[in-house]
Amino acid sequence: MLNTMQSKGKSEAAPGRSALVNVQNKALQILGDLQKDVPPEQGEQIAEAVQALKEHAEGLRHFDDTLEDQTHILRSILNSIPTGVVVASKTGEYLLINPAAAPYTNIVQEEQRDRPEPYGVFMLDTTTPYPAEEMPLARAIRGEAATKIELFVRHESFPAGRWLLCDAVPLTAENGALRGGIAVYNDITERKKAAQALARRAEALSRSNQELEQFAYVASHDLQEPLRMVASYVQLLELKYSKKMGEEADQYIAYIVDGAKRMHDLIQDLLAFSRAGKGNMTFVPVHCDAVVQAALENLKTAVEDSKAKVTVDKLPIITGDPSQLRQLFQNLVENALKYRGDARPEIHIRAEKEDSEWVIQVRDNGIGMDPAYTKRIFRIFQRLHEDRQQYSGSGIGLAIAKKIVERHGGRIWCTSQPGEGSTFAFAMPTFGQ
Amino acid sequence: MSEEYSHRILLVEDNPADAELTAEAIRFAGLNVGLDVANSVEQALAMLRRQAPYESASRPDLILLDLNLPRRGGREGVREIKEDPQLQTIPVLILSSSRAEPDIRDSYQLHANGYVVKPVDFQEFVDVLERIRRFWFETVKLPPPPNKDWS
Repeated sequence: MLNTMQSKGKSEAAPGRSALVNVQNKALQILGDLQKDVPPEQGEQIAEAVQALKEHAEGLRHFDDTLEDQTHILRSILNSIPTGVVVASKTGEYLLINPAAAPYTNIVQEEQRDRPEPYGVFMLDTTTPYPAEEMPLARAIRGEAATKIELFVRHESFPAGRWLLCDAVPLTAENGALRGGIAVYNDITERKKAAQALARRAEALSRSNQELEQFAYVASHDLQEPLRMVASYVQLLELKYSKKMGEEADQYIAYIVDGAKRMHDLIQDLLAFSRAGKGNMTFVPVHCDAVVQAALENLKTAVEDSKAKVTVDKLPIITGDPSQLRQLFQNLVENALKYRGDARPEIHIRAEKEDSEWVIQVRDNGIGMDPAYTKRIFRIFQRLHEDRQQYSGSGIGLAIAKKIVERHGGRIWCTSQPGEGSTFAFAMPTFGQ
Repeated sequence: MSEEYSHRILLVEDNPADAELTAEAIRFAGLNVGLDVANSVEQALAMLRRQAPYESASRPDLILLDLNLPRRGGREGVREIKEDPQLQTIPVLILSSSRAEPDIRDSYQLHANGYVVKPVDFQEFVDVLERIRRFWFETVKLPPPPNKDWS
């Protein structure tokens, strides 16, 4: 009864119906004829039988209509869904192919019942032909379920090929006997293409990242050598000939040494930046309290020299790399100490939970800055002050802080006003804490 | 010629300016050491093994090895020295401008006796060499060469 769904008319959908109606009509006619020749008593019985038969016929017609209705609905669904459905008998004969499956099963004409020519079906590598006996439908016919099988199909009507995700299950009769198999195909070409494009982009990005890190390392390392030669030989010149070349020459030598040392610092910073948040990050629960204490311990001299008052509220446990988080706090506190005002420096560290993030703030009472610069200061080698004596350093600390925060999936920002101190804040995901 | 110095150092360094700088720093530090310079790992090994034309080379008391050498780099140099029973007791200090963790770790894993980052500041370099002298020539005791051929 089931066939290709494309062109079947409604009248053919229930081929048994007209025969059944004929039988019924015949029976009614016989009964009618019989009624004329029998005594009234029997005639009544026959009339009852006729009535019963008519009711039965009515019931049958109703059942038939319902069945036809259901079949029509099912057929409409099968005709309209983008999912390909194929049903085959135990012997591999196709019992049903819906329109979505047609392009893939190569059944163009309804009459063509034989198994189609082996299709261009390939394994994941898109070149190895898929073994016929391993095809999902073939497995289903053998009584196996085959789920989530990815197939690559290529045909002259779609030479670029398409990706199909196939699920096949055995088809059993009510008594459990194996009748055949059902295979369902979904076209996942677009999804696959998007995933491939994404993978390619990720690979390109990772390659360019690696190249960049390699570059930073090589450049920094290889730049050190000639720089060391310049700095050292100028110093040697000074040591050996300083009194013989005159005051001006001594001043020039001092400039050269200073320039070389500053370049050395820049290179060191560049190296530190390229290393920050790179490689073996260990993500563990980190007690920020302990990490801040370690950072303050490292800054002990700077804190004492500036007579700074550092207060720390109770801080949360966040997930991250302990040594990088220590570096983060250290850089922020160091920055706060460096850009202090005339008053005794006061630095306050506190944390607040906002939705699914911890927001941790480092607030100072330092010189502050124009809000116009609060984004720019996180860029590598960005400095706001020309006075290198008072505000030494190359401006790498905040860039490293930003890199560390971002490698932890967080954000960092700064709010500030000139003369009113700055607040550096970073948000880190709580990871369901 | 080895008689006039209390100790000898073999410096493996391909950059002549760098080698000259080390020689100057040794002079400024007032070290009483003879400095031999090899500009490659190959030459250093030939000198250490007294292969031609270095049959009369002296056995150094300390080797200063640059990490970035052409062809067979410093890593291979330290590996080869430490695998050679005749040479492995000679202290090898890596001198490098790199502070990179892998460079430092590799050096120690190959049994270098120390890793020293070359200071940019000349005076610091002089100080470093003075400290090296005090430690390796005065503080620690080293075994005699295993082969009596070495004088």
